[in-house]
Amino acid sequence: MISRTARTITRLLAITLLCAPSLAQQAPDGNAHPATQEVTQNADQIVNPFGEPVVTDMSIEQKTAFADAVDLTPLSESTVFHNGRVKIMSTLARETVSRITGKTKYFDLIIEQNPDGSTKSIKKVRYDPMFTLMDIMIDPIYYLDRPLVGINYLPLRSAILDLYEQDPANQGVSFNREGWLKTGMVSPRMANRYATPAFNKYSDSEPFRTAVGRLDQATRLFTNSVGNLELIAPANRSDPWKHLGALPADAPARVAATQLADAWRKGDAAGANSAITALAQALAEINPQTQQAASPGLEALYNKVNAFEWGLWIYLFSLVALILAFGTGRKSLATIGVVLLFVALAFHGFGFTLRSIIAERFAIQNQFESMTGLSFFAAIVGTALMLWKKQWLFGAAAAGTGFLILITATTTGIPGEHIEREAAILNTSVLLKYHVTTVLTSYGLITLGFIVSLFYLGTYYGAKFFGSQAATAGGPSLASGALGHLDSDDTGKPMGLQRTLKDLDTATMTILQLAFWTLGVGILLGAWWADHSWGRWWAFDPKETWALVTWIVYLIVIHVRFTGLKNRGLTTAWLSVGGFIVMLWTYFGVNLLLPGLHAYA
Amino acid sequence: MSKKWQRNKAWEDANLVGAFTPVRIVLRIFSSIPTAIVLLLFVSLYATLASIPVGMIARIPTLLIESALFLVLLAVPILPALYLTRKALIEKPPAMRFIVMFFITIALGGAMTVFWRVGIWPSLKYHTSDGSGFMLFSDFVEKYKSTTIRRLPMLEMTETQFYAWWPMRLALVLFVINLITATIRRIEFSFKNLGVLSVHTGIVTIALGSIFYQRFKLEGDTLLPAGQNGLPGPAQRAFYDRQDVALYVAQARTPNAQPQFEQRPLNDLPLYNAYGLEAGIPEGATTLSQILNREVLDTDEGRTLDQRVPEGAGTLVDPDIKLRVVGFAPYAELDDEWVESPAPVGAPANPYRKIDLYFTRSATPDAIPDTDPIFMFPFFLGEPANRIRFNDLMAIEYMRGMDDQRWADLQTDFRSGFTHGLIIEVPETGERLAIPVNPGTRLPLGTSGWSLEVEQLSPEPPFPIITPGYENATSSVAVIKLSKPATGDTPAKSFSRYVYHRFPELNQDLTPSPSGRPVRSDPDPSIRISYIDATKLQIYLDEHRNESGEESVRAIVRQPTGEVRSVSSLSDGWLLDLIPNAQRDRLDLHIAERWANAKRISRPVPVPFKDRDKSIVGSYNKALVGIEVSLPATATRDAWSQVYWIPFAQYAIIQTEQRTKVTLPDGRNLMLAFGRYQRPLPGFELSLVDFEMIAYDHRGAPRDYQSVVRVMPNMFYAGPMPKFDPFEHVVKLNNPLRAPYHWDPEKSWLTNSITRLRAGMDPNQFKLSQSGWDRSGWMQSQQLVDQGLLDKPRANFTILGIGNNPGIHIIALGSIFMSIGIPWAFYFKPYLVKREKSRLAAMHASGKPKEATT
Repeated sequence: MISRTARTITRLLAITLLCAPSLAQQAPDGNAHPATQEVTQNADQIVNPFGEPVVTDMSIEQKTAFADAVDLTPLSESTVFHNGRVKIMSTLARETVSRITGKTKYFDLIIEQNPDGSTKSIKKVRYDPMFTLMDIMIDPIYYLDRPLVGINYLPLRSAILDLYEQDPANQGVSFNREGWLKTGMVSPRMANRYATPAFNKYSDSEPFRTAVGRLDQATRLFTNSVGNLELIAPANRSDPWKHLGALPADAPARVAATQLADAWRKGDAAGANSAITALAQALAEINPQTQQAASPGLEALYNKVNAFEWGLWIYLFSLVALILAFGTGRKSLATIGVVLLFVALAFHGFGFTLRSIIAERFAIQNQFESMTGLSFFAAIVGTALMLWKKQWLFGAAAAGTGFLILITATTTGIPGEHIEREAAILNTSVLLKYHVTTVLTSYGLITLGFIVSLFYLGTYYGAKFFGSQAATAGGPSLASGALGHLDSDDTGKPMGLQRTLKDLDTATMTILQLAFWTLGVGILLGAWWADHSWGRWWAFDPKETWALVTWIVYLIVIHVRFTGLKNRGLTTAWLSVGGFIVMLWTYFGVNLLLPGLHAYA
Repeated sequence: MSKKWQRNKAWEDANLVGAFTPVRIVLRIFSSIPTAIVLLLFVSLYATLASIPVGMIARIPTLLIESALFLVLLAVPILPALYLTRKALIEKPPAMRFIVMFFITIALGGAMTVFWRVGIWPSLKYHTSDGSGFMLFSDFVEKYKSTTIRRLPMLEMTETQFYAWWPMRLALVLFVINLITATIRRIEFSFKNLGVLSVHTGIVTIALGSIFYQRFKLEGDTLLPAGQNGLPGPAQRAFYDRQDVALYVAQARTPNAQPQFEQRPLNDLPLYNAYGLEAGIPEGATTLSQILNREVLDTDEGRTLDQRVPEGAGTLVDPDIKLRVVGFAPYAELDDEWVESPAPVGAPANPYRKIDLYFTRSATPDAIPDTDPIFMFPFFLGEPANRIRFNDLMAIEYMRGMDDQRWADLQTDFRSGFTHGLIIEVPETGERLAIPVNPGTRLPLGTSGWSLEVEQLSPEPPFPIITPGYENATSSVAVIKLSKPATGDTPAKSFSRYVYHRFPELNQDLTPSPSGRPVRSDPDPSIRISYIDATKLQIYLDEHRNESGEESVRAIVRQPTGEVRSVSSLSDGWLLDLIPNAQRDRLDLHIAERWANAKRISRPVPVPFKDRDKSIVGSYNKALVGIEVSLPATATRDAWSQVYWIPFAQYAIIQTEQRTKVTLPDGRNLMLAFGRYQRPLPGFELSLVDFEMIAYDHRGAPRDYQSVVRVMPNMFYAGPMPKFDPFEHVVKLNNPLRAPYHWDPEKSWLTNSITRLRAGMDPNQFKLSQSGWDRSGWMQSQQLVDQGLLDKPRANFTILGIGNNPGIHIIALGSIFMSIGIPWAFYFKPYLVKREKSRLAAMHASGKPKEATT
């Protein structure tokens, strides 16, 4: 008995040492997104299939000409395992370039000078991400002093450039500080030399530390991006992919890689193109069944179509057309706006569906996806309301919602744009689809309501500022156009300012009631899921708290109308604007600024 | 306003007058919608304060000013432009006017936005790094940027506690009263109003369910160890509370010599702020940190703590041992501190000496530096590890009473340019050699017959020094292979000698044995070897009694190139010009303060705020609690007390390294630990049968975790035993285990449903969710699998989150009421009203008399 107990105690002691990593956790394991792995294998762990870098002395003009002549298309659909999933090379290239430069494409400046040394012209040259990825792997030395590494935190950028200027080693070197500052970039050599002294100087500042951390990641990715070439597909799904450098030196793919590197460094585009084709073919022949399971064709289509970007611009045109229809009462403009709305919806839906297929999940599991999903659901609901109520004002709100949210998602560096594996707790839940979809729909509806409220406030204050005739830019007939039937203004009733405002108020309330219901149900579904997964239906997590506060705002919107207000419509419109701001805080502020269990939201 | 409300108001106005006027006023207040709105606003404000740091709230005025500035910037060109455009186009068609004004607005708005972004915002944006930009109350904002109001010292509440505080409870109670009163008095109980009635009923139901839920709610987690050889792991009969903590105290031991801990709840322990960080440091005592000007982050701001640790019934700890909480550090490391103290009786003293290092550029020869020292080194002469201070360039060893033989060895003059030297003495022949060596050096030793080979010259011992008293000490080591052929009766000798530069008393011989495992022994006395490491500047200082019997400090300085000089007495305490150089830059050393005895104590050193992991702020994970252990005075002894800082242990019973042993003056021992409160599982026990991590394809990130858990009755449980048969369940993410009652596929659906509903009200019914796992163990075993040494990867433990959910079905019922009631109120009721109106209109049109409808 004693020996058994002693064994148990010994085991427990051993476990004590092993359980250390788990002690710090607050949220359960599986509750957070898997950490993004910038580099799969570090340079010291691999054989570089392109050989060691050499100085190529290629000028920027030669590099540009070479980039134009090289055709990387065959390699762009080769599959690669990176960051927990199989993707295609062009996706890896987009992600790598975006993470290093902070932009979708690397650009360089060709500066032409006058004989007196002044600048004659500056030409901005953009490079395809596939070319940039291959180039930083094969010819990294070319980039050492080029503006490659993006820093979006101005104080860090300034500090690094200051240190460069102050460094005695750079005395006498021509240096255009303002020019560098404007590019938003520093060179890898600058980052390497001056990031640490800059950090030491400002380490008390949290944003500074964060920016240095990001810079460090970007620099590491630049140095080790060749470590991400896990291109050798295994035979089984349970086995790991291997690095290109792990193949024997005489394997066709390795031979092609060597030839590619040689031709690349010589600037021999024809030789490089031939080697690219050979490398792509050699890779494709290695366990093709495993590669095809990742649907590389669909991913290439997703990358090529840029459905969300196209969608947002078409939404914008639709919105403009419908606003002009609102102001002018022209049926043709309304028709154009509605048609554009359907086209934008088609693009948006196409992108959303394709992403869901590639990611192998319902794509609403991170901030970027929730935004694209939210705007999609909102646009659908707005369009449905437009068709049901036969009032294209709802269409304008749908287009506005689609445009605003998609442009925010695609241009502001919202986390989650790249398709990655998501939190295990999300993937194993059926309630996810109902809870998140319902809440996102409510957020979308709140946005719709906000836009309709802006119409209300614009109309109301326009009338107050410019007089009632100008409020709807044309009096009764235009008010009819604003909220009239899609087919025609067949009511024959005069529609003045008050009628317009009343209709806008009714439209606002129609949307806000729906938002109130869906948000309430979404919160309760979340509580059900939390009880199921976390063992507590309500934990006063900031996300929960603020979802409730948002709901309370709309509870107030609904009840305040019973209190005998003088101008119910105006109060409702302003409360809708306030509710929208609260929703924005709940949606973005809580995620980005407050710690909590909804780390993935 | 409903007719019912009009009727009620009319009745009140008529009847609740005079002395009943207050009743009428109260009724009116609680029937009022504005009251509800005020209460809801209060709840929202309360939630804001609970969740948003006050520093962030203080940024609101700045944000408002910035927003206003931006709006003004937009308005300044746009409004006049629109006004003028309208005036100019007043005769034009409205549509044209609208289009022109629209595009002017867009163009000017865009231009102003760009101007704002490029021209104004960069200088307006506040940067914490250099303080540039615009921010009102910037110091306050920075100081409290992550401090919510509930974290302030006067509150010290978790989110849950803050929401359970009386202001919030009061507001919610008032809201519920308001809701009930307004519902009864304002809303007709009719079919068409079922929607709003069910929403209100739902809210009240949820509120009542929550009260019951909060009353009995328990949650925490339990760690289930894996078994060996395919057997289930040891059963666990308790779990650790999520938030409640306790002091674990043990005086007695179990039959297998383990401490028999009892828990003493620390219910009023703070959580976010530091208190009494100086507890344990004798009042007025000089500490080493003060002498060395070592900055210890002062986060307690003078706050102290004094809480009694309650004694439980049936305690096994002697009643005269008293425990108090006298300090708390929420996020700190335990560090050594030293204070001057009288030498202990019956034990050797541990003298302390400070040595200062000075640097002066182009100094006058022999001038005493008048600047501050560049380094200050503390030495504790009673501890070998603390007698030496070194870096890559220099080392200082400070000894007391060094034996003459070592002093002589250290003074040995080798020829210059060497970095390692050996002094070899063969007593038998009287030979003494001082030779520079390198790795691989081989040579015979004179006529003694010995020969040596330098196997290794290592800056650190090949194995850590474990000799008692020398823990954490380090020294460069020479590994010398010595051999001597057999002569006469004397057998041949061959062994490796480990020669320590610092601690010759630790030298030892390793002789090969047939088993392949070398035999350790004390150094063979027939040959003595000392090792001199001259790879860096070496300074040896020794407190000794000179020939005239006076205490003095003597010194030896050996340059990295090997030159050596010695000073017999540092009479003025200065050792000047450690590295003579042509530039006359001077490195000097001064023998400074000395204590006859230094006492080591532990103290919490708060981690700087910027280095703290924010995700664990608000837990005790990095906390230390200061416990004063005291004994009252008796006839035979004085009163005694001592403060111990105990680190937090997530799993106090198994994390043995987090325990603190206390030895009382009378020799009694006590074991203390600080950890989460442990609660028994009510009548059942859990053991881990198997665990698996399911990864995405190609060994990607974890996709799920599953623990096969066996649930058995706990025969040792003292409370009422639940009746159930043992069962196994696969716990996965989103697939928790319910115990002790669970859905039994052998029983009917109805029986299971009734059981489940009943269990839903039972505080002793728990739900266990997959919460943590042994990541490193799994990864290590995966490598063994890849090497073919294991069949499948394994984890050494799993962690299950555990919680009861009493009354959850009441809350669920309220939720259903709400979810159905809202669409009824918004969509079905208008349909009913519209139908009713149509019916009335039809009746009116047909000339039938109008019926009362509402």
